[in-house]
Amino acid sequence: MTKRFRFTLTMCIMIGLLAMLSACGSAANDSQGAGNVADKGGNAAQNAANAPEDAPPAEEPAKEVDLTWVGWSGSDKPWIPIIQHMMDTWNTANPKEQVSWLGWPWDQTLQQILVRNQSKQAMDIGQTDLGWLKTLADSGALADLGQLFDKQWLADNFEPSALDAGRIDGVLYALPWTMSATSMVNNPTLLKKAGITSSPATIAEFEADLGKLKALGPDIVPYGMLTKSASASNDIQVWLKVFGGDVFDDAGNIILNNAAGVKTLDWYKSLLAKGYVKMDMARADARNLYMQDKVGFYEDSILAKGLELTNGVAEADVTKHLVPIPRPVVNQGDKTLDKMWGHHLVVFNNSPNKQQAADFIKQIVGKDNSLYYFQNGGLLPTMKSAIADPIVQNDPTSSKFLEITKNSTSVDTDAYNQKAALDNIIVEEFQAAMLDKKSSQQALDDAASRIAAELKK
Amino acid sequence: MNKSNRGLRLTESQFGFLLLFPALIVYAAVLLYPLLNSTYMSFTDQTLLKADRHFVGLANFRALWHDPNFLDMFLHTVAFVVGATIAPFILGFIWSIVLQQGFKGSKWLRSLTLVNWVLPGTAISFLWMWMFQSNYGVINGLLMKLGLISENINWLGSTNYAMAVVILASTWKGVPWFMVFLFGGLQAVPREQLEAARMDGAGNVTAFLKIIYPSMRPIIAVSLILGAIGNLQQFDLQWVMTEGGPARATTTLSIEVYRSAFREWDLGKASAIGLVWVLIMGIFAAFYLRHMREQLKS
Repeated sequence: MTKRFRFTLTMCIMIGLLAMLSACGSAANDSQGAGNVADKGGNAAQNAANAPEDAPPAEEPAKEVDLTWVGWSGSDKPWIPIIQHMMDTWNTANPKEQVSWLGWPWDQTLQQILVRNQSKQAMDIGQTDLGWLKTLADSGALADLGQLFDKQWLADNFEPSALDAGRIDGVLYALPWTMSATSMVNNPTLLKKAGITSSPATIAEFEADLGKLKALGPDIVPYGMLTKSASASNDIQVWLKVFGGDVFDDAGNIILNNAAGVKTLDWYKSLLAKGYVKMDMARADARNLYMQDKVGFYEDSILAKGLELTNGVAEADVTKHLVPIPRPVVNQGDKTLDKMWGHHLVVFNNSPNKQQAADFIKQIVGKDNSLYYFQNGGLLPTMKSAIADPIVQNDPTSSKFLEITKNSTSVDTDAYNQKAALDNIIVEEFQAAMLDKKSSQQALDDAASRIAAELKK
Repeated sequence: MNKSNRGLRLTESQFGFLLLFPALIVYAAVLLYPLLNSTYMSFTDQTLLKADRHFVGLANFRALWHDPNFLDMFLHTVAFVVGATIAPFILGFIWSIVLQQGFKGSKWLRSLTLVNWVLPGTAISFLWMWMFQSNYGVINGLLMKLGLISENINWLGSTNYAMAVVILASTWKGVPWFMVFLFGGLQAVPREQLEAARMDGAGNVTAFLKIIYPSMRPIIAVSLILGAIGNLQQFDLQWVMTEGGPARATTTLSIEVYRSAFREWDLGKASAIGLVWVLIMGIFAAFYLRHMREQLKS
């Protein structure tokens, strides 16, 4: 290798390296610009403020804002056209405030929001789950909506309980977009085959019905009880309440492992032993089997109706296949309980366009969009005027869900920002007992000590 | 003119370093920085819920040590790595010997085998998850038809079977990888020695033990070490198929790192587990490097 060649090669490498680094630098700037187009409006204002006073007066540039809406529904096949329609409506009416969607699967959305929030990436509006509120509020990701929405407008348009579901320590962090309960639903077609003519009101009646469904054959799962994934914890916690237990008492002490907790877990084990429920059942599995008429009962929200519609079931036929019922109770006359369920809309603290984001939310929860969402996706509205609309009131499935929602409650772990970890612990220990790896008492004692350790962090 | 030329003159090693420099920058940015950062993170209380972090010394490691589930998780990792390395190795070896016979269609079969390897792990997970689905899975259907079972087995819902099913899926994915490695090794076995042994009356087992195995020992060692490292890193199969359950029966180190970081938001704990994980992988990597050095020397 000659010296000249070596020199030329060295220079080429150095120049190439410098070009690469500068390209990366400008790419980074570009991408920052692209990902953060929303900043443009804010920065323009900042630049204008920083301009020297003696600078020649420039023509006021048109302020353009790009809003990023994050969540999961806009990436979930059945709901994509509905979300797109909502954004198109807004974008047509507001050409200088364009909204675009950025989404992930439901079970990855919370982590994506937290990661993006910590790395200060552009997000303006968020679709969030009711159970994530405490976690998101504690992370500092959410803006105080009390500062962005007129208090009178809020009071005029939403029930106080709906607004309370979006409050943490008195601060309104989220507006309800859709709310219902995760209640028990049954499959009348299958129940009829089993000779069941009325809905079970008590656990004894419920078990009798499960027995009849079991008799239909080995392919039938009488109760699609969730036994997989941390989200099973929500249902477990409601059953705990039904049996008189809970995870925490009012003072915050762990009482999961008390006698009522053991009774609940023993009941879970007995259902498995009788073949009424199955292990390895996630909500998606229960829904799939239910759609195939292989599951008699399972727990779901109003989303179940949306799934029926998006799976081609005609609106008029939904009631033949899906009937929401209050969760059975221990003794006749006990108060029924179900888990409050819903999707929120939030504005992110990092957003430079909070007011525009709030205006967009106002339109999304508004009557027109809510009814469109309801008619095409089956999801219940939250605005008083939309709920009162005959389209909603005269829908048999939805009105039943609305009725059940009145007795719905949040679960204990919702109040902790470590909800995901606590839910995981509860499900793991329930699984261990159901699979006879531990006694019920041992599993719940272990769950209690693991929860205590988690909360100490 | 001479002076300026002298100023630019580089020694061979300096020139070599210069050539490596761009790669070193990329290595530092993509590998070294994250490794050092996550090592530091393992000594902090960093979470995804707050931006600031504080140095907590060995607290995360102490918590791991006292975690009643840590030993189980470690044993599950060992079971998965051993099972998902040895099973595809044996099957891949047998398959490579079969294909090496050069019968009609063997080249086509060799290409076909690689399909499993090309498929994304998530797709493979769903495929096997559906096959082993307790209600409508083809495995239960087949076993029922053959009269081997009288009622459906809940494969992924049982602590007895879940790990075996995950290992089976991983084996299906891993066989082509081992096959390619070992097939290459088989090509290097001296034909004349084999033929001479055959003429001397050596059977299959003797030929394998006396000629094939000694010739292939280096490639067997490398493939096993790299296979074990790959399986230690395996995450998607377990997560998609079982989420580490039921009752933590398939929770390995990789699952726990993900769960700690993205379910518990505890980046400090996740990094501490990750560091333990890297150290374990380091043992395999050390074996691999030593092996490579010995090969270079010889």
